[in-house]
Amino acid sequence: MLKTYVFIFCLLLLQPVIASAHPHVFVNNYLSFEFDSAGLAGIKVDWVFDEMFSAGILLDFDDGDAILSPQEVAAIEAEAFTNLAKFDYFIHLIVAGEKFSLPAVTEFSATVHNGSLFYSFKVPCRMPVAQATKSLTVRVEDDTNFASVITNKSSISISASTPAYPVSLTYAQASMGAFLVSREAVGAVTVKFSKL
Amino acid sequence: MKILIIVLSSFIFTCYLSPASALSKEVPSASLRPVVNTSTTAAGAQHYIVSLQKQLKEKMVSLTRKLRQGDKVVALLLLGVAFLYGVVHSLGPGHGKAVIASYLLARKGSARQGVILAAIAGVVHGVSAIVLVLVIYFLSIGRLTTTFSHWSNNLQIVSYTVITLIGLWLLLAKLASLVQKKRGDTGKTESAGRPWWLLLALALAPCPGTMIVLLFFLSQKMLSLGILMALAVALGMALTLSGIAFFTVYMRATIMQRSSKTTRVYTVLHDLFGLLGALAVFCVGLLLLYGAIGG
Repeated sequence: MLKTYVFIFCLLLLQPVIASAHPHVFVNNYLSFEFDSAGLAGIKVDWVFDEMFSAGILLDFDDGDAILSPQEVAAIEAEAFTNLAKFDYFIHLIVAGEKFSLPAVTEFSATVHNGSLFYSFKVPCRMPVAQATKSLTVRVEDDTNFASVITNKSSISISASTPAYPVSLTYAQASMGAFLVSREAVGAVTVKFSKL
Repeated sequence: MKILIIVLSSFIFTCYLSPASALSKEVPSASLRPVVNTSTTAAGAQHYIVSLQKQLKEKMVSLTRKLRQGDKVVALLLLGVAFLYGVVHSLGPGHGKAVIASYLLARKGSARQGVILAAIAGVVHGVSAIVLVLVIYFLSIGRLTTTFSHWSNNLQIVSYTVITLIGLWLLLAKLASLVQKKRGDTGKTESAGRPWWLLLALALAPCPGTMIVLLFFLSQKMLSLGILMALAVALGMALTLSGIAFFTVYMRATIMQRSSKTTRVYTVLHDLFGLLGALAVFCVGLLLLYGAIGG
């Protein structure tokens, strides 16, 4: 029994060493892979924030009408979005087994629906289609764990203008944490495509 | 006591298991199943804390909606949810648990004293967030979210420096008293001391979880309810920290009691705990400082 006490106590002391922060913000992540005749053009990303965090951002940036004007969106982008660049916007790309640094994100916009804040932006990462199969793995997660980012399987899509070559999606298992927040959550998603 | 130990150990232990560990394995979409095996089952408790917090926050949002529709009784329920959120939130990493535990290991004191100290620590950790939000809000210093995180980052560095210094001071005081004892000088033993510095240090690290709750009610133009809710969160955190404090004092007392056949062993153990606890406060302070500056 004494040993158990001491063991627990040591774990308690070591907690700040190993564990990072725990999530204060919850985000539902949507990915849309945009293809054209030349290949993958980019990824459209949409984030839906939990209502409590949304309320905080709206308190800061909205004039109270629950509609974000272009000026308000610009302020959110400058003060609450671009600082995520140092975390690669939580987007981790792997091409052919190697980490691929995130190119700049474009076309940022922010909207409000039913009290929830929505972010939308694009990751322009062009990959031309070829005879050999191309593969891109995308994992959207905050490794510092301040935000809990959940990607449901139904939130991943291939853009409407379906390309004339085969594109497949495979999903990694969701982490235990993501699974507990959403039963439909997936981990990294891999998109593969090649010329017929 | 056994239940407390089981609960504590599972929550603390699970902090060590990386939530991202299951990511690397790729499976075809058809066989997509939850990850449940022995190594990740232990991680469940910590992840459960996270999903529970999400549910509690959603509950607060939906209850507030009901309140706006005129259902006044909901206010009491809201305070209960906020209290529970505080309990659960502070079970996650941080919130001064390691600092309190190591401080109480170093100091001889009753369980009652330890519990009171931890309860005050929990309250000041939340109240400082309330004060910081209200100062920024009423003095219109800037954006609440960004200004809060900027200030709290700076305050944290001060807080962790103070904790490191407290550890150093405890260590030096203990060593000095040991030297004195060796010389046979029985005149002055270490003083009980007042933990004001420790409470100050913990007050200087405002709790972001409390901030988010308060901001939500500010956005709903419910300032006084928001402050009450934030206080309820702080009281919940006080309960968790008190549990940690009780456990620490109980463990220390049990070890002292069971292993001390003679007064000599008792004294040696007392000194050993004093040294280890002081060293732990110092190391925890340094690690937190390293995390705040480097991370």
